[in-house]
Order: sequence, then C-alpha cells, then structure tokens
Amino acid sequence: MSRICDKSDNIWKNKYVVIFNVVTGLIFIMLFILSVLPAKKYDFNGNTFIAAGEAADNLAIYGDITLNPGVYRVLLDYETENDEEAYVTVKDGTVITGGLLTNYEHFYKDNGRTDFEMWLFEKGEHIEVCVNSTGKGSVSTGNLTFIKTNRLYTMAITILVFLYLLGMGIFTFLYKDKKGLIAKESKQVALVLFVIFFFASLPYLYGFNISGADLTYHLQRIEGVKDGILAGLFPVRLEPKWLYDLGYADAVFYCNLFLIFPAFLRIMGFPVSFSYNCYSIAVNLATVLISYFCFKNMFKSKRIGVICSGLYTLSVFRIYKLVITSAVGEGTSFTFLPLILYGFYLLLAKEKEEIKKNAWIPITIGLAGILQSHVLTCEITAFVILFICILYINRVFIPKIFFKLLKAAFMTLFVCLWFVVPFLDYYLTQDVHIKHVSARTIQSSGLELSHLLFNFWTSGTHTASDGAGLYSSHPIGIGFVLVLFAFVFAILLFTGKIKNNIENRFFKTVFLLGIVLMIMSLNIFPWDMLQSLHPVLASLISSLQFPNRFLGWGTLCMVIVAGYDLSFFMKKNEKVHIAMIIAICLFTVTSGLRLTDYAVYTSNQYELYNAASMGYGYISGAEYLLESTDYEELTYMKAKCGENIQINDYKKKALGADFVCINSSDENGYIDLPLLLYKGYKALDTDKKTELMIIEGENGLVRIIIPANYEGHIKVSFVSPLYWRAAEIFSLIAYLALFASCFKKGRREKCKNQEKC
Amino acid sequence: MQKSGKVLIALLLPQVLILLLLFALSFKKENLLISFGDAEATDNEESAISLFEENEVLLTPGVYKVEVYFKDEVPNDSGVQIVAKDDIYHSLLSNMVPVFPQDKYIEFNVWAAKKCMARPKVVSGKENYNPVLYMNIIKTSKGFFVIASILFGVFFVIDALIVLRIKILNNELSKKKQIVFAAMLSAIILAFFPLLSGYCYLGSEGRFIFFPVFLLHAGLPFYAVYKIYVFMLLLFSALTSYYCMRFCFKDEVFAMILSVVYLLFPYHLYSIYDKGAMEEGLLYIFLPFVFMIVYLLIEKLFIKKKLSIKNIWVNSSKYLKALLIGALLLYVLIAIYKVNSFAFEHRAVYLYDAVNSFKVYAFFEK
Repeated sequence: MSRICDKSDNIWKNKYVVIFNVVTGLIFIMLFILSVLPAKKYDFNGNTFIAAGEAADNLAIYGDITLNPGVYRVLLDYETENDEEAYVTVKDGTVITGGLLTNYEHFYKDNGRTDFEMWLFEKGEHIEVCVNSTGKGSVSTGNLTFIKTNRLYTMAITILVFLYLLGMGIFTFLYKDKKGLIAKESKQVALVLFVIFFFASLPYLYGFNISGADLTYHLQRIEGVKDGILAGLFPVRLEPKWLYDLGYADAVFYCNLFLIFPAFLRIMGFPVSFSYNCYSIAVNLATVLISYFCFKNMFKSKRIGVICSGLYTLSVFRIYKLVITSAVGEGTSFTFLPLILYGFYLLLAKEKEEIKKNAWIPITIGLAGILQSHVLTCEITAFVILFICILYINRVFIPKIFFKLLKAAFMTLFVCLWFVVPFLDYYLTQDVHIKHVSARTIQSSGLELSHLLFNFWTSGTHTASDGAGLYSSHPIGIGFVLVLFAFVFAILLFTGKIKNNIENRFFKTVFLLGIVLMIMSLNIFPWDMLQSLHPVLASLISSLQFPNRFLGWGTLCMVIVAGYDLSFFMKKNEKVHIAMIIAICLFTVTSGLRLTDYAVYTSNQYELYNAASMGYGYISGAEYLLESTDYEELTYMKAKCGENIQINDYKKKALGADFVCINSSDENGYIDLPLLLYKGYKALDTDKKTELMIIEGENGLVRIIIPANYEGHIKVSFVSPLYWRAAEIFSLIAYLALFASCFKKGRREKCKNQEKC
Repeated sequence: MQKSGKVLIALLLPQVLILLLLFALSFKKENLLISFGDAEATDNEESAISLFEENEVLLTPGVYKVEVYFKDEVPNDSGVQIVAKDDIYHSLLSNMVPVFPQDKYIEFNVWAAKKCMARPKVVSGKENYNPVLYMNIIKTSKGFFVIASILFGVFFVIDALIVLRIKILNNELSKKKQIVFAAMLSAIILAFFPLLSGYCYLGSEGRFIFFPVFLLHAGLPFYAVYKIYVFMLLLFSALTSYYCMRFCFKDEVFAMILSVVYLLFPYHLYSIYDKGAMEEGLLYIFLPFVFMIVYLLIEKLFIKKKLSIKNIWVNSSKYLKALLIGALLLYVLIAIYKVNSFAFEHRAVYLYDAVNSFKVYAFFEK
C-alpha cells in the first residue's frame, strides 16, 4: 500500500514510455500538417443521355480514372424526370477488397447534383463512374468532380490517438503490475470483464452492420448530428439534411447527446457504419463497467459483480434490442438502469445512519442518462420509481432520504433541461404525428409466458403476435437462466430462508418488481382495458408500442435477484454457489452467445457508408413529422413563388435559405421554401433589419409572406428561442456541479486510502 | 390434528361453497339471445363474404351456443364465424367453422371473454350467395362452469402452497423431500413448456380420442382442455415413475433423478408434442409399473446382495461423479433444447370449439 502513496513513482520517466511519446508526437505532427493542406479537385467533362424506356445497368459514364488514396466527395451534375429511378456509383474492379468503399446516390428531379463520399485506400487506376436507371423517364448526366478531402489524415489522427491511449493503458498496467500494485483478483476481474465486453461486441467487429429494423433510422440520426454540427448548429435541434434537405425535428424529441461520439467519428472521416459499430462497442464497454460497479457494491463481492455484469451485458433482451433490432437508443438507456437501482439501494437498503452523503449521485446520473438516450424507457423508469416509492412509503418520507431523492430529481431536471425545454415546447405547441397515435393498442403484441422461459433463441422473423405462439419469434425474453434464479429466490422466500432485515427487504422488492414487470410484458396483462379508461393513459400506453419494453427493467431486476442467490449460497453452501456459476456459464453460452452467433450469420448484412446510401427520406414511423404534412409528397424541392413574385441569387442552406426577392404587385405574395415549418424559423430582411411573416405553406412547408411592392435580400434561418439557450446554460452549470460532486466523492475516497497508508 | 390440516379445512370450506354454487349455476337454462335471417345479410361480391352488419348483438362474458340452419345448396369452401366488431384483444374466442355441402345444420360454441359487440360472418364458396337460412345465438350457463374450473385450479394451487409452506416452516417436511419436490415441479414445468403459450399444438397425427370429453362438453374451450390433459399426462408420468423408482431403489433423490430423466426423455416429449399421440402419452404413465415388476422379479430371482445406490455413489471416483453430473446436465439441456425448438418451429393453432375441432383443423391444414 505504501507504494501507491509514493510520489516518486512516475511512469512518464520510463524510457520506453518516452520513446513511445516521442514517436507518437512526431507522427501526430506529420498527420496534422497533412490534414490542414487544402483540398484537391479533379474535374472531368462529359455528357451522357439515357432516353426514357432504356434501362441502364452499370453504364460507365466515366472510365479509367486514376486517383490516389484518400477520402473523396463525388459531385456529378444530372437531370432526371423522376425521383429515385436512377442512381450513380463508383467502381474499380482492380483494387483490393475493402480498398474502395462507397455506395450510391439516387437521382432526384429537383436536386441536380450528387454529393456523396468515397473512401479509396489504395491507388485506383481503373475507376469507373456508373449509372443505373430503371428506364422510367430520361436521365442525362453532365460534368464530374472528385474533391479529395483531408479526411484520410483526420481518420489517421483519430486512430493514432486511440492507439496512443491504448498503448499508455498497457504501459501503465505493466508498470504497476511490475511494482506489484495490482492485486491478483483485480487482474482476474479485468480479464473476465474484458471477455464479457469482447463477446458482447462481437457483432460489431465485422465490416458491416446487422440489418435491424431500426438500423437505418439510427444511422440517419448519426448523419443528422454530423450534418448539424458541420452546419454550425450546436446542440443540433433539427437535422438539416434529413428528409430531402427539408429538416426533421428528430433531435428535439429523441435526444442525441450520446450520438455526438459517432457523429464526431463521422466528422473525422469514418464511414457511418464504422461509427455506428464504434458507438455500440462503447455502449457495451460502458454497460460492462457501470453494471460491474453497481453489482459489486451492491453485493460487496467482486466475483458476484463480474457474474452479474456478464448476466446483464449478455442478456437475451439486451442482445435483441441492440443487435437484432438495432435499437441503439434503448440499448444505450440500458447502460444506466443499474445506476438507478443502485442509488435506491444506497438510500433504502441501509439504516439511516449508514446512508452516504452522495447516495443521490447514481440516481441522478442514471436518470439523466436514460432521459438523454431513450424517452420511452424513461416512462417505464417513472413507473419503476413509483412502484419502489409506494412499497417504501414509510422510508421515502424520512427527511434524510426524502431530501436526497428530491436533490436527485432536481439535479436530473437541471442536467436535462437543455433537452426537456425544447421537447416540451414542441410537444405542447407543435401538432406532430406522435400526438395522434393514442388509438394504437399494444396488448396483442404482448408475449406468451413461454417467451420468458426460452433459452435456445435464434434471430426469428417476427415480434410476438397473436396466434403464432413462439413460432419463429424474435428473441424477446429475459432468458431461462434468470427465470431459474428467480425460481430459486422464490423457493428461498417460500421456505423462509431469507431473513427479514432492511437489506433483504430491498431485494424482495426488486424480486416483486421484476415479476410485475414480466407480467406487464405478457399479452394477458389488460393493456387494452387500461387504455380505454382515460385519454392520458391511452396516449402513454400507446406510445410504448410494445409491452416487451418492460423486459429491460425486468432483466435488471432478475439479474439482481440472481446476484442475491449467488451471494446467499456463497455464505451458506459453497458447492451450490459453484454449481450456480457453472449453470450461468452454461446457459449464457447456449443463450446469449448462441443468439449473437445466429444474429451475425442469419441476418442480412448492410454496408452503408454515408447518408446518400440510405436515401434521405426514411423517418421510421414519421413520429415527429407535422400532422398536416403528407409524407408521401415529400422529396427534394425548389422554392415555389406565388404570383408576381420573383427571386434571384437563391441559395439553399442548412435549415435556411438566402435570396433576393421582388414583389412587383400591389398585393402581398408568398414564397414556399423547401423547409418544414417547425417552430424556430425566422425570415429577416438583411437590409432593413425587419422580420417577415412566416406561415404554414403547402404541405407544411415554410411560407414567407412578401409584402406588396417589396424588394430586398431575405435570409431565412432556424434560430433556437432564447429560453432554449437559457436552459442550455442551466444544464451546463448543472453538469459542472454534478462532475464536481463526483470528483469530490472520488477525492474523499482517495484521501481515506491515504489515511490508511 | 396438525396445524396444516386445520388451516386446510379453514381454507377449503368457503372454497367448496363457492365452487358448489358455481357448479349449481352452470345448470341454468339456456337463453335465446338473437336470431339472424338470410335477409339481414349484406353480401360482398368481391370476397364472397356476408356480414350481418345491421344486426349486431352485445355479448357479455360467457359461453354462447350458435345454431346455424342452411339452405338446400351449400357450396364447398364455406364457413361460419361470429366476429367481434371492435378489435379488442381476445374479446371473443371463436373459430371459423367450415361447412360442407351435406351440412343442413351445425352448432358450435363461442366464448366472450369481454363485453363486446358481435355479428356473424359467413364465407361462401360461391360469389354473392349466402348459404345460411337463419342462425340463433344462445347464451348458455357453461360460463359458470368455466369460472368454477379456473377457480378450482387457483384454489388448488393456493391451498397446496399454503399447506406446503406451513409444513416446511414447522419442519414437517425433510430437506430431501423439499429438494425432490422442487426438482420434480421444475421438470414438469419444463416438459410442459410449449403449452405455456396461449394456444395448442396438435402434432402430426393430431389424435383427440383420449381427450376428457366431460370437460369439453362442460364448456371449456378445446385448447384449455388439451392443456389440462397434457399437464395431467406429464404430472402422472412423473408421479408414477418417481413412486416406482423409489420403491425399487429405496432412495428419494435417485428416484427423483430417474423420474426427471424419464419425464424429459426426448421420445416422450416427441410423442406428446411432435406426434400429438395422446395414447402414447397415456402409456408413459403405466410403463414404470412394468419396469418395477420386472426389476422386482430380477432382484428376487438373481440378485442375492441388495444394491445400495448410496454406497455406489459414495464409492465412485470423483471423475465418475463429475461425468455423471455432467451427463445429467447435458441431458436436461437437450430436453430444454427439444421443447424450445419444438415451440419455435411449430405454429400454434387456436382451436376453441370442441365439436368442430376436426373440421377447423382440417380447414387450417388446407
């Protein structure tokens, strides 16, 4: 222990570390210089015409182009009569597999120019630009431009930083290990946690994405954040390029805080599928570490902490959500669930005198994490908290506990204010589609009882539905092993083996909560009846979409129950404890890992590199589209002028436009801009500094009223209201306060260690 | 009298009274609710479906009998069903009952689980032609029997659990017996796994001949009776095998292990689920007795020194023990795989009406 406190120990003076730092520094400087060099342009002139009725299959319109390795933007001028009837792609049959990464971009009538990325990792000497057309309407292509960006070097810098951190981590580990500062148990724990993390991340270690139902939606979200940041919007509220450049309010309703990481990778130049995989791996890492921290402290055993972390991270429902449906938002929220129960454990499972000062912190971080990753999980979390508070009604109002809970609630609110204020603002003032789905019932998509007991899951083809039983069902359940442990807990409870004390009461509550949540996920739970009771209930229940969402929390509760069983038998009967660990390994391998394997090999695999490859129009269930807007009518558009209105120098920008306008008549006129009318758009006459009126135009577009006999330069842009900005500042302060509290806690523990020394 | 006995009597009295009352109510007279004539149907030319849109009827929870009288000409591929107007989940349990050219009259049951508006739906093999002359919907009193059956099951489980708990807490049940009970219960649930979903599987042979006819006629839906029957088969197989093995080997835990192995034997599960051969399922209840007799004969005639399972186990090497435990674990795992894959690969069928189950099943198969 004395070595920990020895200040003379300094890894930075180690000669290998010095060499490592110097080499890394030199490479970094070189890459940095390369990355700030100006972009190069390669222009090619030519015309190709494909007449209506003539289908084109990989028609090479430009060929034998030679390009050096790099990340390019491909700009091709074109004219077409229809939307999405033709597309362009780039090929080179001579480069190595994975040497040229690109998809394609569709042609749109009112767009006129492609702009998509291409990654070339070796010199291409036979690059071809090919057009495909269905023959429905004529297509003509014009000049081609390749712009070599500096993103190859920014990608290299990112990889270098990652390798540097990894290298330093390994150096630190070896250095400390050599000095005997790392306990054997800690090394074992780290190894097992790494194995869990590795297995959970296996589906993301390929060069493709598994085609979950929500995959393209979340890839679009990542692209949206990237586009927003590149357009100078921060925080990103409306994704500017999503929905054919019309701007979509996904970010207002679905918080994208955590997507800043994959968006950053996109900005640095990585393909979107790679960024998505990196993000999912990061989610797995966070889940492994957070759940280990919570379970270890809850059961006061590193071994049980590791096992429970494995059970939670490799649980069937989590794999189903993250891998099979690609519900990365919900998957992210699962990372924070253990913190909430751990927080309640610190408050409710301890005697008054033992309650720690900072017991509110896990609840705050957990709630804030959930709210900022998946709002629907928040709805279920509210139910869970209500359930616990009702069962602990006698303890919740003890001042020491009550004020801590209050503090956690307020701190969460302040931390999330930057998201909550715009969310409520839009929800209350904008007539979005999500407000009109209360008639959708959910009971019929509930689970059968046998779903919960299933072990040998495969990907399946459909979610639970009436009549089919388990036939070819998606892996929706908590897994056999957790039910087995719940059964063991029930036997212990039934036979009176669990003593009545304050800590055990908490685990009994968790067990009961888990059972209730599992019942709520079944099709026997009267959701339809509850929905018919009150419009608010109808809206809340309808928004859940699937009762199986309760299994996220259900899984966590049952993992804690399993942890209790392990802890119980660790003290009472070591043989049973070991048998339980063997059973966990056996069932985790045959359930979670088998499922992961199946998912990888039986699902469709997508290699999507940018937004263009997905099209710009997919918005899942169109939940955040204005109700007055007909989704089918939306596509790329040009500004439409009313009678006697003329516009010049028109420039479409991200969430805005810039143009000179003339109204030669004596009456007011209008211009419909290709922007969806969400709250926040402003039209400004830049010369007179006056604001022009904006109303709803055709199909929910922004319509600017041009006064009679008007001539001037108009700038339209999206401006966050002041109170949104104020909320952001509040949140920033709250974040700083939260970090300070965590830091203070960490320092206090460190001081305690030093006192022990 | 032991404490558990007193508690049981205290519990049983009100329960028996409730069940008797419900049983008595189930003999109430039938009540004609509504009649539909041919003239009231609206024909849909495109799909050859007739709906009695104007004459909807409010069904309160209960069991209803539907009597249908047909015209002289009934085209092939025709069928009759009572459908709920609103799509409330599981409000009305009713199958499309196929009608054949020779049918002049059919009757079938429908179960209203919730209050709902319902109307007849007639599918005709001939476009723009409704083969139904008229039909009656009659409210029966079988609903009370259905409730009584459900309550009987609930009461039985509650009583058994209460008595068991008292016995355990009073140390009237040895630890060994508790383990045996828990393991047997787990094995039965495991073997019953495919039927924990809402509906039933009829297997490749779909034999119904051994189904408890009394329960069907008393008003329980077909799928519920099927489940009760399969559960009984598994329960009694487990009990008889346990009893016989214990009798032979005089060791509770060993008997339990053998009984679990017997219950989860893949061919046993294959017979019941994949083949749907209920008579084979019945056979498995009695087979352990044959084994017991044979074993006792062999023991009496050939084995001079009595076998002691406990001694064999104690004297085994740790490798053999590990091998046996591993084999047993693997065996259970295979059984889980078997029931899992069966449920995953087979589409469940939803059959409610007993009388027309053959017809409905044939319709589904078609």
